[in-house]
Amino acid sequence: MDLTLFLLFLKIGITCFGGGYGMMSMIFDEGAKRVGLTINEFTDMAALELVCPGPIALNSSTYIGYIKGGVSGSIFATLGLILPTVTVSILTIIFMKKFSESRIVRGLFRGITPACGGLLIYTSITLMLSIFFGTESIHEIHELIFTRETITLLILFVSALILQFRFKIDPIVLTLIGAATGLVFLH
Amino acid sequence: METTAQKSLFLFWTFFKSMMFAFTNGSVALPAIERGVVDKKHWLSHEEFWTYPVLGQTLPGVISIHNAILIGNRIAGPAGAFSALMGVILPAFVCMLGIAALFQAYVDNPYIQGAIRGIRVVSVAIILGNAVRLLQTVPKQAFSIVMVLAAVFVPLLTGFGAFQTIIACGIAGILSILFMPAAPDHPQTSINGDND
Repeated sequence: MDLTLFLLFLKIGITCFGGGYGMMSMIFDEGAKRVGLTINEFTDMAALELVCPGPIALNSSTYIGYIKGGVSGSIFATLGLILPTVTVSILTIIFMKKFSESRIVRGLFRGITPACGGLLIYTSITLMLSIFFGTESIHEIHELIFTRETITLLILFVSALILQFRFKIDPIVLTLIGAATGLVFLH
Repeated sequence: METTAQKSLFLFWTFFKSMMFAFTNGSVALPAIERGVVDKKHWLSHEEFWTYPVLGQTLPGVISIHNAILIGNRIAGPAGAFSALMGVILPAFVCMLGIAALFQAYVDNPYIQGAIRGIRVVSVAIILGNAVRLLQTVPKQAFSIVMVLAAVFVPLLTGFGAFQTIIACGIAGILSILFMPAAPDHPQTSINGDND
């Protein structure tokens, strides 16, 4: 398991462009294929990261490593994640700034940055399907069932979007609002 | 003059305590790190300090780790880079382990369950917000729009996963820069309405 986790996060670390959220889709997809990560485990991770300090990428490798392979799993997952970044950093120091100015790296960013944005939308859609309909893919929606719980979740989701985009409310405040709403209405 | 060991220890502690208060995004820690190494120790100028985060953003990988290694190496060589790197990794690693263990212990508590379900919904909204912020940095060109749409719909509707999609888009980006030299190379220069 340690080796599987190491290789999984090595793969994620290699394709990690443009910040921790850029790799969320990779964890979501590759995690399901390689270590049987479920949608519930993924959304737990996304939720707990909001109350944990440090870069999202490191939080993710630690959490997935821990739930799939204990403390040693979390160490191996984190080592796998940071190895490509550390290598790139060292190459940058050796070759000065040439690396980031090379056409190949600029080309990579040109394709990968928009792709990461698109993948995040794909991940959000899949997570919404899971949270609101309890399905794992877009092909499985048969009927809409509105319970008191899904309506509460929907109101919370829409409010979080409005507070974030319209009023620029800090993610930490949104997290506290989500936790409080859940404590009162969802237990 | 401080020795390399003293500098490294200070670097570790500065990165460590700044990262302890960086929620949701590692770059939130940068002003606190700057206060330590620029305002307090005068090891770097304000301008030089900020060249590293800017450079780090243009490199593939975890940005906070690039910042730690580049700034640490500049101040105290390889030992400094290693100390700063540990200062970034340890808070995230140790706190997440603690939270994961606590969460597993109380996972059956209905109130914890309720709170986590509330935060989960919020986290999806925040992921969507990050997607929008990321896409705002992308130049408004036909090529980028095709990449975005492909990345949304290919994994959603076909059997191809995120990894294949990222690799394919990266290759498309390299090809586009090699074979479309007329297209603006740098994202910042292409925002004002260039079409390719």
